[in-house]
Amino acid sequence: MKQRKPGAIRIGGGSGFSNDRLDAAVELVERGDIDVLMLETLAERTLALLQVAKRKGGSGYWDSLAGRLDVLLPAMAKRGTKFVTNAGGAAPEACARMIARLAREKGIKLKVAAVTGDDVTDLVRASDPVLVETHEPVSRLGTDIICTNAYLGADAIAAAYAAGADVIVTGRVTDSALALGPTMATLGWQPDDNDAMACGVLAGHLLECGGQATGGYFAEPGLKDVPDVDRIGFPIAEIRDDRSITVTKPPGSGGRIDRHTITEQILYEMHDPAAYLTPDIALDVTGLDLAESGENEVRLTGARGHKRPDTLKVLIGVDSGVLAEIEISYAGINCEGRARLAADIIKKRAARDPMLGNQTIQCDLIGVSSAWPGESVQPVRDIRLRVAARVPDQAAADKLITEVESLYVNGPAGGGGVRIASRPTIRTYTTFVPREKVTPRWAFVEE
Amino acid sequence: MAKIELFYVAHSRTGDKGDSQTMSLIPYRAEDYALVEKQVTAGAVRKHFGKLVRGNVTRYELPNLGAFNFVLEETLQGGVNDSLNLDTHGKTRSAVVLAMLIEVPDDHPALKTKAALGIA
Repeated sequence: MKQRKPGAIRIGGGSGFSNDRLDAAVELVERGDIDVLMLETLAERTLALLQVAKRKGGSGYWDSLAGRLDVLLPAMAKRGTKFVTNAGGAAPEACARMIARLAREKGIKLKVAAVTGDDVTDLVRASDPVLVETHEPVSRLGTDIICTNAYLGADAIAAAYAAGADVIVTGRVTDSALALGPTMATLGWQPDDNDAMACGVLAGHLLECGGQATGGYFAEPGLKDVPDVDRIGFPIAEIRDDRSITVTKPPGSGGRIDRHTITEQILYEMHDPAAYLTPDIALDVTGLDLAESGENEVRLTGARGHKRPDTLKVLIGVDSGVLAEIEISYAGINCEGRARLAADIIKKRAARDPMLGNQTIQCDLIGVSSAWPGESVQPVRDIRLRVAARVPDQAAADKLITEVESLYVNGPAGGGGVRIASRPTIRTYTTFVPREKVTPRWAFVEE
Repeated sequence: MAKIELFYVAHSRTGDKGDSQTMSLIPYRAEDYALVEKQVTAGAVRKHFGKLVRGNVTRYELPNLGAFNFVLEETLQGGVNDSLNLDTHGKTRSAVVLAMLIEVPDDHPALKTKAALGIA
């Protein structure tokens, strides 16, 4: 196993979401001196959408990956960089085969592994556990289930990495496992070593949102400035066997790493900081020591781990109808009054419509109170009325769209710039299954 | 004492989990930790958010990181599953907590920062 530094591993966080900046991922590989590139691409609903696509004859995995690997694979092969991603979505093995084929076409020799076992459809169907949201068994949902996936931990990734995999493709795993797996394999960390697991999970947590650790999602002009914010470098975590994490970014890249940027990311989406639950460990950051150890460099020590949960979290995706969002602009003196009148017209007409009558229709005034909860603080001269509803099907969505479009010729004076969006949506339910009932597996694939 | 928006004293990032909102609060200056601890209590945040929050507000203190972490429950119209909000995840909510007014000594540097920035 290649190891640039004895007793250490350097992992780059190559994305914060599926369509994140490719230039920053390439920079990590070319200038970040990393052992592993981690690519997190699977948001809560993404897997269900991939499963829907698979049913319609699609690949089931993240299709944009091939285009990205066109650029990344040669760069990684040149340096021997390993690659770990959850882009396998609903078809990790097919995704792994695609990568193996792509590598062969480029004349690159790679050992590609797929991690499976996250699909727990059969287990949940048989055991019928209670859902967190409804307090009733899954079988009472009474709707077609699109997908049922458990959040796997790092064990199978660690095993594949230790066996020499160059590329590891997973479906649903907890994001931090993408970093913890290679770390366990490289540093020889065992699952029952709570503080070691905590260190690896914290590293993964800092990497899983890409630029959010290095000055992205942070800038406040004049107050919290970020240098070269137009070319933020993605984070690199160097995890050492003394259980420290040093966070840096590629030399010469934009962005900012200090106490402020790292602390925002440590606490991001964290509930109880003494028990951040993952399949691998309950991470405790309350005793964390954070030191600004250099320019754009932070060193973290003191992550503690408490016993991992006996259950695994399971996400169940079901169809949730169509979300329709339509907007129209009003400008100038009393634009707010005209936008409110337009909203009133929509609500009255929808109430009389058989398809829309019992649907919840939300009207927001963008520029006044769409994201901000207060009232407008100055005369508004530029406003957009947004009409949104989640309706059972496209026909109902089209009806609402027609109503808003009709404001052009029937609504208040001077409405313009109608834009229309409608898309199918997924609803997720949560449940838990006993850990011992779920078997994560990994295997090398041939194309 | 003078009143000033929390915006000039601390920064924040919000995240979501279901119908709950997580919200960090990190004073720019380590020495302002106590001042924020005393004034930006769970109750004060609950009151500031008003009808936006229907459930509990919990505050976790992290003195070693010079930071606080808040969890606001029942605040996102049911979460991504049900919300019709434009900002489904409540990502913009960090700006809401930073609009809170707090009291600082008359010679606090945040007052100068505010005057220099001249943001309305």
